[in-house]
Amino acid sequence: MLPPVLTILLGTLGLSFSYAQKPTVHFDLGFSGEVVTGRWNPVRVELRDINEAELEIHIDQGSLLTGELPMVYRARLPGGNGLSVFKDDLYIPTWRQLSWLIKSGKNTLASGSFNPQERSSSPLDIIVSVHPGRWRSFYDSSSRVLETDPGRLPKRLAAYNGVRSLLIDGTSEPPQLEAIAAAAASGVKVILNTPLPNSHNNLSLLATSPIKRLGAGWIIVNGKKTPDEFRTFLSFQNGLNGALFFERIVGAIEHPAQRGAPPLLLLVVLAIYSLLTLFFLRLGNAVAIISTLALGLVFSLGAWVLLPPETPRLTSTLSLTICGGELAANLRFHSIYNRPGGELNLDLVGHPIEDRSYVVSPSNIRFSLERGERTTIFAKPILSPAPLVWQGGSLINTGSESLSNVYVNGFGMQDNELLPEFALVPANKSTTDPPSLYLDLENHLPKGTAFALAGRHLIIALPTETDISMPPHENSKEP
Amino acid sequence: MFDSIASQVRQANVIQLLALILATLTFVTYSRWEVAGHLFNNSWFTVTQVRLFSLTLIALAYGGSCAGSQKTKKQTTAALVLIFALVTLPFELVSYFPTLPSTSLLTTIFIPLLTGIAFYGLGLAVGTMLLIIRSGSLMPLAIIGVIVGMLVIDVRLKTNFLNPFKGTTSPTWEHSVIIGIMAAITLLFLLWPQKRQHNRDSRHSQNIFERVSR
Repeated sequence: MLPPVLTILLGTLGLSFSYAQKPTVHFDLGFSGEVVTGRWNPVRVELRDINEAELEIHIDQGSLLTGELPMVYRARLPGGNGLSVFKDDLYIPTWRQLSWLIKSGKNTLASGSFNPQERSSSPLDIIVSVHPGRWRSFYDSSSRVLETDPGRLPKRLAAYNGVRSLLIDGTSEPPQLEAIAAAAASGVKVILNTPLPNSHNNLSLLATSPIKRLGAGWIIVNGKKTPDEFRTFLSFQNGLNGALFFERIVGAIEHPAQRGAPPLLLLVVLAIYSLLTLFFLRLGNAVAIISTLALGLVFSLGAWVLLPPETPRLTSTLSLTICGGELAANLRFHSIYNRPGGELNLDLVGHPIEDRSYVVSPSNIRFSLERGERTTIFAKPILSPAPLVWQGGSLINTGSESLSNVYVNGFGMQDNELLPEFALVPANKSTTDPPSLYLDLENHLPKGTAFALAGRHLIIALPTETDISMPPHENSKEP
Repeated sequence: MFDSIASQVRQANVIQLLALILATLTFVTYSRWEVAGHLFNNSWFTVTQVRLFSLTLIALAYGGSCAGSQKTKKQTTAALVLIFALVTLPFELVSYFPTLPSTSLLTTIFIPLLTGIAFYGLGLAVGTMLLIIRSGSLMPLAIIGVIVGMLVIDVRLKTNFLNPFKGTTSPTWEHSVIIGIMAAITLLFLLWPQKRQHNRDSRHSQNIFERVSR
């Protein structure tokens, strides 16, 4: 039996805890609040003891010349008792106003905005360390260096779109292997400061060689590098994110022209209709007039049956998979022509490549198109297994589709077809010209890069181990 | 009634005019069916404008020519305009489906019909006014003047209320209402029971072009 004073004390303590656990909302855009303009950024919302809520991010992409050009992101946040965490990725276009709002019904739970003066398109350098200050001198003074909690590193490829490097020195908790793989596949230079403690043993699965490609990025074992050597790693551009690179890809998307009935057949049918109409009317009686109108009705119904409305929208998709090692970054470009002008609601997540007002959610995108207007939606990049892999000196088709037009930068066109689970050893047998898209892209990529097509799917397999101290265009000039 | 319409349709000048319009529409549909460099078939936009232009001119001209004629003559001529609109409808529908414009199917069917009736009534009104001021010879000029006037008003006001040629390609509810009211007034005038009295019309039933030619 507790004494009354102790009971009162315990009751007061319990009451104070229950007051301390107030419903809370925590919103985070980018890494540690740092947003990279023109790139995908992670979004994270934590709700505690709040029922279902809605997140709205309003971005004005306009300028003084164009006026307001809104982009709105809306997402339903799952709630309930305890902690609920919502995670997604959002493309942040060039903006002049960026504000967010979390509401539940008519109540605003939290809101805020970003200062346009802090807007930057420079990529981020992330340090995972309990002593981030000791690494600061390894970066240029203009670099956007920030530290983050290893447990908060996203496991989504798109989240690392605005990240240049990720340094892990082993002093903090070990990050999850999936997060590191997603970062590397996205194009991030993951630098492991070896030797790493035993707690980081899982990362050694990725670091099998001093410099290794993984997806579009690298796993680099730093060892005892000097700051200058370190900066050489960071300054290396892989050429895969450049505007020109994507411009070439988008330019390669073709739409076949839509043709209806053959014009000559149409001419014959219309001529027959005209002659029959004139013949009936020339008869000049009530029956003839009714026959003429009936003829018109039959032809109209014929037009309805034989010339049914064609598809109101033309969509042509080009998929680009950038492979390095066993992982790949999958990018999809959807080129859309709309026939009747109006609003389009597409079940895909992405952003238009041109400045355009749109509303996006975690599952779809909505925007307006004028009649005959074309837009290209750059879908959110995703992680995928590599369908084409360099293994030793062989190129292996590890996917399920047969690959055609295989070309290796520095060797020329290879066999016309590479069946699933088959390998080829590149040889100089360039008797045929490669597709023009390959020639457009090869200058952006290092020697030894393999290209292949699977329908509208372009696969680029980067050489697994490469000398990244040389720019790719210099590499590619060598035969 | 049907017989009088049929006898009017049978006239050589009507058949020739209809042949000209059908030939024009056939040529326009064929030539705009596949245009190099176009991903889509956009033939409807040209076909509907040519059809509306033809119907507007024909309706105004027939309306003006019937001013001062007997009511029966006015009714049969209005029916003639309606026949012109109906027999040219398949051309519009043939090009409508492959073009797939934003304009609704109902608009593309009914606006040209209403335009035909409305402008026939306008032609009647203009012709009657010219008869009153004894200036029937100005009828061809007046037809062009009416169309130009409507276009100028729309351009000046930056609206699309009166321009008959954009009635289907850029439909507005204001245009539909105006054309609808004009068509309704025309139909009321044409179908209103005639008073049984001898008026000047019964004795001078020649049309305005016949008077001009005298």
